[in-house]
Amino acid sequence: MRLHEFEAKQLFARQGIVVPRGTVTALPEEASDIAAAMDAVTVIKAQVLAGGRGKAGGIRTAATAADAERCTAEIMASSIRGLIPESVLIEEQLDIARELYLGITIDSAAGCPAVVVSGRGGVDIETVAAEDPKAIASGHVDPLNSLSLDQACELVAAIGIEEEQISPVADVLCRLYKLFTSCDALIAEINPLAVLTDGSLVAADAVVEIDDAALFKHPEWNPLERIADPRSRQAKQQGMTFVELPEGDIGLICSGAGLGMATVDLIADRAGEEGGRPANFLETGGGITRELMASAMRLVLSQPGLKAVLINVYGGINPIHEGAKGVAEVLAEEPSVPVVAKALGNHEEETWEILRQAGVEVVTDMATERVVEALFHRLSEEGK
Amino acid sequence: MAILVDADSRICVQGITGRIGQVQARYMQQAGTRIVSGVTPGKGGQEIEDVPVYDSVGQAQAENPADVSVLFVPPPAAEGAATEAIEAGIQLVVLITEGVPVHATMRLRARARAAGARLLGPTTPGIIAPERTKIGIMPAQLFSRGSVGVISRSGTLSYEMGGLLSDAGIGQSAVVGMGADPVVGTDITELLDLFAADPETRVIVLIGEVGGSQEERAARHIATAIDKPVVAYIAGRSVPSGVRMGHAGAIVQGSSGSAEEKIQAFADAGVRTAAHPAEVVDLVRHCLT
Repeated sequence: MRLHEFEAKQLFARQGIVVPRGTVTALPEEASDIAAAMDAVTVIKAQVLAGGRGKAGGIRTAATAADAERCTAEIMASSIRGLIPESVLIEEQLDIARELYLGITIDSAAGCPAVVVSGRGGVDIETVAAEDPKAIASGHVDPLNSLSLDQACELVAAIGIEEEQISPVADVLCRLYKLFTSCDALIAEINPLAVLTDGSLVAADAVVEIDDAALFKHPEWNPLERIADPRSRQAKQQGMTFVELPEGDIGLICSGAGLGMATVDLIADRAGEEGGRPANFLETGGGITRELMASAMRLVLSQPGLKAVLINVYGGINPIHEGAKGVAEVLAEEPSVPVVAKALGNHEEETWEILRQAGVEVVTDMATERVVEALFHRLSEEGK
Repeated sequence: MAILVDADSRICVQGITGRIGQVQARYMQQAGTRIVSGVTPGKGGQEIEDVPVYDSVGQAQAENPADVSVLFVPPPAAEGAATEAIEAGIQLVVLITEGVPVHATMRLRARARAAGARLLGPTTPGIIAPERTKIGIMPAQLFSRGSVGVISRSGTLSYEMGGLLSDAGIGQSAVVGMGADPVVGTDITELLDLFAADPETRVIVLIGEVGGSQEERAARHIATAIDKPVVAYIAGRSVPSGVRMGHAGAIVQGSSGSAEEKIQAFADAGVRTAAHPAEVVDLVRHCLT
């Protein structure tokens, strides 16, 4: 779950990392008061979870309170990289002498956190890595120990900054690392860390993404509020994944992400002029019950223009015979488009029986290719 | 013996008194798995499926030592339970649980390595040596014994692959789920090495998916260090960029983690990639003849 800049900065402040004076608002008339109270040139920043928001017009500088009101009104009425801002963050403009980069992420290959620092902040770190790799220093951290001040100093010293700045920047890095572990973050990034003309350090921007799997430890964050699509939100609430796919007409329910993706690939490869494209990716997870499967069916069937539904599930950890009862329950309620299914593993024969009784075409072959063939056969029959 | 496990392997089931733990313990026993102990804190002293239940892994090890522990515990309990197994001296810890925080996994991985133990998972279906033992949640009836080693990021695709190979009369030496999370306890390259050194394995099948860089690392490793034939399959060729497809690790960002990059990396390493799961069978058959 990616946090908004203002939320990440609240976490920074709690960790003792200095952030600019700032206030969040959604109201242009309030922006005027906020800017007037700051008595400084302000920067108005759209709070949207999109990269490159500056280039997309989401960051403006306002010299007066009236400017701040106008900029806020314009940003709130705009769409930034396809996203509508819910608020703006109004901050005092900083007197910046130099911009640095501090970032902590997870190195999947090494299986531990990786710290990255650079003397070239304010630009995309991937760009710096490509153009000027010597401007970057990075290192791994033992997940059983924290980042030591010594290691932090060593990294910071390697990016070519003034001697007296090394220790203060390393201190910010250690605080950022503490935040990274205590919040269960996947990413914690300050870009740029501004070195002001008086030598002080201020986090001018903030990126924090929290691991969804760790949210049970951090109940203050609710990821459901951030999911715009109601069907994806409902699925997530029930432990499933739902992704709508563009221009599709085949509803899909799979147990397991890998099997789901393989099935999407197979359908997409077969799709022709007359349709037969996957309309969604629905992955049940390992918690199938009668209720969950009924819910999955209703979610998928709610898609307008659907031509058929394909179910592809395995009984490993999932009781698919219970799931089949949920499918039958929904099909008994209302007429539906054709449903074809492959269901193998524990309790497969019981599952087939329940599904067939409910009017589902069951394919007992091992290969997902066969159930996809059955689906397209049905589509051509229906088209006649 | 198969890689990592064998018919003699002695298994401890952590979370055996839970709904899933109990059912899966029974399925494992039906597949021939030798379960010697169960652990649920506070529920020691009873028997589940004729298996004695202990309050801690330490107690279980003192009375009925196991070589392998398999965990059916909810995500908040996973780190503590797996740490207990590592500290009790268990050599192979199979963490089935899906939804373990990544920071917890990084700590577990480091603890296991420091103790000289091996962590498999999290988000793994486990490992099966068909007709010998099954440590995890795979439906055993889909698999048969033979000479193909299967490594899979996805659980359900490992079932499909076992089933497809078995239907074609091609058995498996072992099928192992490496886990679908961004960080896992045992790397794909380590599993490749185990199959490469296993005398029963003649061909290795690698089932990957979009997201991360495991397949690219595997491809480089195969080119330099693996002399057995490898056949690959990558799920998610048609999924859009920027969307997480069910697994925490399955996300394409820009071109990074895309199926094209992985397929290209395999091609560069001389590994043939099947377009669909069933095509793997043909490629494997070709390698075996």
